[in-house]
Amino acid sequence: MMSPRLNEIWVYLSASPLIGLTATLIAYVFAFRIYERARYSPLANPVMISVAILVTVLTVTGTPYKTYFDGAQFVHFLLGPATVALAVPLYTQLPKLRAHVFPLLCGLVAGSLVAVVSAVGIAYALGASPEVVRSLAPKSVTIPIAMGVSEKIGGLPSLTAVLVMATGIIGAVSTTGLLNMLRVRDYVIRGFATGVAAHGIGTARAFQVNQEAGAFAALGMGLNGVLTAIVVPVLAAWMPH
Amino acid sequence: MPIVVALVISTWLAIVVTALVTRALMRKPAPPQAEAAEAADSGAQP
Repeated sequence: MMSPRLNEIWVYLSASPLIGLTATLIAYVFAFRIYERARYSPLANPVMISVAILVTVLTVTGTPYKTYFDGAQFVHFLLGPATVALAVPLYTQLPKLRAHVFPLLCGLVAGSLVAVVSAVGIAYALGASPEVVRSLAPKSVTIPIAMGVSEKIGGLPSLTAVLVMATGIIGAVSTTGLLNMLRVRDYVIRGFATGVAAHGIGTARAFQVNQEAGAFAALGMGLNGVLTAIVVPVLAAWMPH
Repeated sequence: MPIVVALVISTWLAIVVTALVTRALMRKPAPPQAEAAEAADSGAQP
């Protein structure tokens, strides 16, 4: 049972747009505590846990998404400046970036094409509808770009947004294990591969592990966004109608 | 279900392929064998 003071706060917040913002911040702080307790295990990814908490809370309380987003839009707004700020750590890695431009660009093209072709091919082979297949194609890039590409090629932008989130969580959770298995030790490569495959959520995970990995994950995320926006509309001609 | 399988496998493939291609191209080529042997014979330090 809520204490009177807590009840007052709840009544105030539930009548104002701040409820979405407050719920988001509390969910993330709680999720990050779990992540810390789990000794930063990728399986306790804080984004994954906070999404699960928020979905549960919104479902149980019957809160419409629009009501939630009226408050959460303040966090959403900060995504823009946060993305631009990723250029700062990358700038500090400029000499390393210059030394490895060619391998990084080749890795980007290979990884980006594999992400699109394998997602589309597997979903089609398993009987997914043409709309779903097209919604999957841009799933490895950041949401604003992915939704724009999805709309352009005849996918469902709202489904693409969910698939992008899921891709980021899958990538952030599994990248450490996969790269350890391959014995990839270099943080430049580890970060870059994570950013290319798992956009912002993977980049956040990379920054939590190592600053250099985070900087190159940000580079991978940005470059893959541009490449996917160019390549997927071209590849769409071969996708099922 | 097809979506989940496609998401998981394609994300893993993208991580693996990006990492392996980048690593393969970042490796410096080994010095030619003849030069290495010559350097060893003369006792030269690398």
